[in-house]
Order: sequence, then C-alpha cells, then structure tokens
Amino acid sequence: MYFLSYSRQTFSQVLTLLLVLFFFSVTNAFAADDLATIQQMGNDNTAYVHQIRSDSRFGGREGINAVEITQIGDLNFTELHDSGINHVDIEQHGTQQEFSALVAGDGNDVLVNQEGNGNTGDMAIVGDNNAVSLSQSGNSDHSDIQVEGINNSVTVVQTGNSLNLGLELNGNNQHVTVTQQGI
Amino acid sequence: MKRHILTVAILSALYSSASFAGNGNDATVLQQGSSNAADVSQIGGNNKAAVVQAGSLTTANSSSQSGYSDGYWGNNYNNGSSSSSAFGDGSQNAATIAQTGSNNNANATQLGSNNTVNVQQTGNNNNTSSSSAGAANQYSAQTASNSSSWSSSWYGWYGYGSNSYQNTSTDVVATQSGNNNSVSLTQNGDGNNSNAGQNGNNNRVTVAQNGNNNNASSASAGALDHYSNQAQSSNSYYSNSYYYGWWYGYNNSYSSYNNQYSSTNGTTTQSGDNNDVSLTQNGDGNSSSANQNGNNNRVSVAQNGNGNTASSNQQGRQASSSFASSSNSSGGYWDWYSYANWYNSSYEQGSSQQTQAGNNNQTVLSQNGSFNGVSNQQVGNNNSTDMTQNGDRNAANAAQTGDNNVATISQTGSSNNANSLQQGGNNTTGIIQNGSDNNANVHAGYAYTSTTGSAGDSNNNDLTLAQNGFNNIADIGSVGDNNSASVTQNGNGNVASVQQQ
Repeated sequence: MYFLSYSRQTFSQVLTLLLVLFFFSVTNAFAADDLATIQQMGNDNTAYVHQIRSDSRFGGREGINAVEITQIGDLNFTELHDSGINHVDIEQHGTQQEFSALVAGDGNDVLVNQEGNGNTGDMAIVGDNNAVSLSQSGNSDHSDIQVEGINNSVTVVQTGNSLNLGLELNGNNQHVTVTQQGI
Repeated sequence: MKRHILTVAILSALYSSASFAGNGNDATVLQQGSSNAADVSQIGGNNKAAVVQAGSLTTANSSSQSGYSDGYWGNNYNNGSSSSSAFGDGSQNAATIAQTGSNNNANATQLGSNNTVNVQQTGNNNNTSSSSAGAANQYSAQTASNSSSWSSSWYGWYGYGSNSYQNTSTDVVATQSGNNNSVSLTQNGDGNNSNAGQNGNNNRVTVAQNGNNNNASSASAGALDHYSNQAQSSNSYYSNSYYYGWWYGYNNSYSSYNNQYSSTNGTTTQSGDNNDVSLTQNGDGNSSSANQNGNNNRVSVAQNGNGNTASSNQQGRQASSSFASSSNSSGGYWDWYSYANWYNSSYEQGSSQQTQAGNNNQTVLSQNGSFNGVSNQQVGNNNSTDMTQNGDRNAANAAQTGDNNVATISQTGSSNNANSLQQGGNNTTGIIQNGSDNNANVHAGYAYTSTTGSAGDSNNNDLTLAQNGFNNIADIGSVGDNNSASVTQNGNGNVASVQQQ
C-alpha cells in the first residue's frame, strides 16, 4: 500500500515536471528582448528577477521582457519586479510557496500558477491592456491582486478549501473573472 | 725556489713533449705547420703553460697535476681541424683554449675548486666539451663563440658538489652566433648558474640542473625558422631551489607580414620547492611548456606575437602561474591565436592569472585542491576561456571584453566562488557549480570594476548558470538588448537573482 502511494506520489511529481517542461517549451517561444529563466528544484529556495525596460512614454530602452520562473518544492519564494512590456510566467509546485510580483507597463501578459497547500501571492499590476491570470490549486491558499489602469483583464481560479482572495482594481473597462471551487 | 722558464719553438715538427716538476714554472710551445702535436705536463703550483699551434690538423694536450694558482695553464691555440685538451686536478687554475677555423675540438677537464675555463671558437663545425668537479666554492666560467653557419656545437658543463650541503657554485656562460648550433648544460650541485645566448636559426639549448639554489637563463634571437628548445631543469633536492629561465625568440615584424614562420619551443621542468620559471617569447609560432612539482613554485609566461602556445602544469601547494600575451601588430589586419593550458594541482593557496589581448585566443585552466584562485582576462573577439576547479573555497574569475567570446566555469566542491564579466555582444557564459555554499555571479555590460554601473550596452548575450547543492547563490545581470539569462538550481536553500535592463 505504501509502495502504491509512494509510486503514485512519484508519478505525480514526474508528471508535474513533464507538464512544466512542456509548458516552458511552448512559452519559450516568446520573442523577447530579454529573457530570464529560473528553475529551482528543492525547498527554501528564493528567486529574484528584476527587469527594467521602458516604453516611448517614459524614455529609456524599449522592448519586451520575458521571465519564466519554476519552483518545485516547499517553502520557496519568488520576487519579481518588471517594467516595460512583459511576459511573466511563474510556476510554483509545493506547499507554503510565496510569490510577490510588481509589473509596470502596458500590454503585459502575467500568468501565475500555484499548486499545493498554503500558498500565497501578492501581485500589483500598473498599466493598460494587461492580462493577468492566477491559478491556485490547494487548501488555505491566499492571494492579493491590485490592478491600476484601463482595459485590463483579471482571471482568478482557486481550487481548494479555506481560500482567500483580495482583489482591487482601479480604472476603466476592467474585466474580472473569479472562480473559487471547493474540493 | 727552483724556477724553470722554457720556451720551445719548433717549426714543422711532428711531436713535442715537455714535462716540468716544481713551482712557478712557465712553458710556452710554439708550433707552425700542420699535423703537429704538443703535450705539456706540469706538476706543482703557480705554473703557466701556453701551446700555440699555427696550422691545421694539430693536437695540443696540457695537464696540470697537483697545481694551484696556475695562471695561463692550458693556453692552447689551434687553427683548423685540430684538437686541444686541458686537464687539471688542482685549484685556482685557469684554462684558456682558442681555436679558429673549422672542425676543431676543445676539451677541458678540471678537478678542484675555484677554477676557470675559457674557450673561444671561431668557425664552423667546432665542438667543445668541458667538465669540472669541485667541492665547496667551486667556480667555473666558460664562454664559446661559434660565429659561422653550420653545425657548431657546445657540449658539457658539469659542476658537482660531493657534499650537497656544501656551497657548490658553477657559473657557465655560453654564447653562440650562427645557425644549427646547440648548447647542452648539466650542473649537479647547489648554487650553480648558467647562461646561454644564441643568435641565429635552428639553435638548441638544453639545461639540466640538479640541486638547490640554481639559476639558469637563456636568450635566443633568430629569424626565419628559428627553433630553440631550451631548458630542462630539475631541482630535485630540498628547499630553496631556484630556477630562472628566460626565452627570447624574436621574429622580426616583417617576417609575419611575409608569411614567414618563426617557431621557438621552450620546455622547463622543475621538481622541488621555491622554484621560479619566467618565459618571454616574442614572435610567431612559439610554444612554451612549464612543469613544476613542488611547493611555492611560480611560472610566468609572456608571449608577444601570433600563433603562440603556452602550457603550464603545476603540482604542489602555494603554486602560482601567470600568462600574458599581447600582439605587437599595429593597425591593419592582425590575427592572434594563442592556447594556454594551465593545470594546477595545488592542495591549497594556488593561484593562476592569465591575460590575453587579441582575437581567437583560447585559455584552459584547471585546478585541483582548495583555496585556489584563477583569473583570466581576455580583450578581443572570438576568445574563449575554460576554467575547472575541483575542491573547496576556490575562486574563478573570467573577464572578457569584445564580441563572440565564450566563458565557461566549472566548480565542484563547497564554498566556491565563480565570477564572469563580459562586455560586448554575442557572448556566452556558462557556469556550473556542484556542491554547497557556492556563489556565482555573471554580468554582461556592467562596469569593469564593479557590478553596479553600466559600461555600455552588451547585446545578444547568453548567460547560463546551474547549481546543484544546498545554500547556493546565483546572480545574473545584463545591460542591453536580446540578452538571455538562465538559472537552474537543484537543492534546498538556494537563491537565484536575475537583473536585466
């Protein structure tokens, strides 16, 4: 019985890894000016990404950033500060994972996926025409999302029990979809 | 005191022999003509003997037995296809052999201390050999000049200290001008010095020193097809061995332009502690190899030119090596290919530093042990550096300025530090660390002396970092467009940081 449980758990982890790798093999096709990729396998790991790129309104170097962060394990932490036109992809698989993201600019595409229990997230999006997607699967997950700008869309899917979501949007033509589903 | 002064002048005599016993004797033998032979034997001190043979196919033999302070002992003179030998078993003797013409042979043997040998040969196909054996404070100085162009050779210095704890000193000076010359030096004992200078093409120098506190230097200057294989030194005894070798293979700047090729090979082998190797090569197509086995050894190589190769192999503690290359070409097109392969098997506190300026350079660095440091700086395009360190508490630093450069660092162990700094475009950095508590920093486009300011855009760079272990720190930063940063960490407690602007 233990063997079956262990095998099932191992299979689940391998499948998760394969799915993540497949996912990245697709998203790596971003035509970005800068690309940052971090993959961490283990516990208590920390990932910091800071990408600076401005658009024509603010001067500076124009272009597109892409960041892909994958953390598989427990008690991992991700902090992201991006400016410009960004493609953000954060994957966390494990328990008590945490991410903090500040994305400033227009036309950003932000995708965060957390699988496990006790995961938390804090996200702030500043700009227009941004698309934000957050998926949390597990119990006792918690997220706070702040969006400022126009024509932004936010999609949140939480699956589990004892979930918590804080969502604040400032601006016009915002589109929000929230789904919370118990197990 | 009984004193003999004898002058023998023989015209067209086949053989002259004189034997003198006593102190303060002077003997002079003059022979004119060919196929003459002279033997002078002196027993005692303060004696002088001179044999002058004006002609070819002559033979002169001088010997001093139980002598001391013999001034012009063995002052032989031959002219063409002749042989001259000097033998002494005393101290403070001076032997001088002068030969002009071709196909001469000179031989000097001295048994004793504080002796001097001076051989002058002017001509072709001459051969000189000498041997000296003395104990404390033995001193022997030898010079030779072969100024023509064919198969001159100089062979043999031997200063031997019967008791290695005594201070045995032998100084050897060899100078050759011409082509196809060779110098072979062997020194056994402590405190010996040798110096070989060659001016010509296709020359060779070989030096072997066994003992402590020895010093060897050589300089060669040759043009087209110059070849010099210089120096093998083994200091196999205890501490305070010292070796200094200097190579100078010069290829004038016009030969490179005319696609002429100059090659100089230098090889140095040292066993023992506190040894130094210093190599300088100017010209194209040169190569050098330095091997050291011991502690506190140092290797320094400088190469100026194109197509040069340098390698160093050090095994021991607190060894250090440095390599510097630059191009003396000015303006226009120039291309440089250098390959440096440094292997440092230091157990602790070894350091290696390389500097290369130019294009198409390659550096390979390897260190085994702990507390080692390696640093490589390349300025130019299409350069590559490859660093490997196995052990704990090592540091590797790679700095590249230019385009299309590649830096690779591999570290296995704990508490290691790897740093890569690149300025330019289309550069690639790959760092892999296996172990715990390691730190890796990769930066492109940052100011040279810090990781904060920008040195200008660095575009199209590919920066990759992989760490396997616990509590590792990875940091990647780039300034410019189309840069890629990738961090992969397997283990717990790791920190990855990426900054792109």
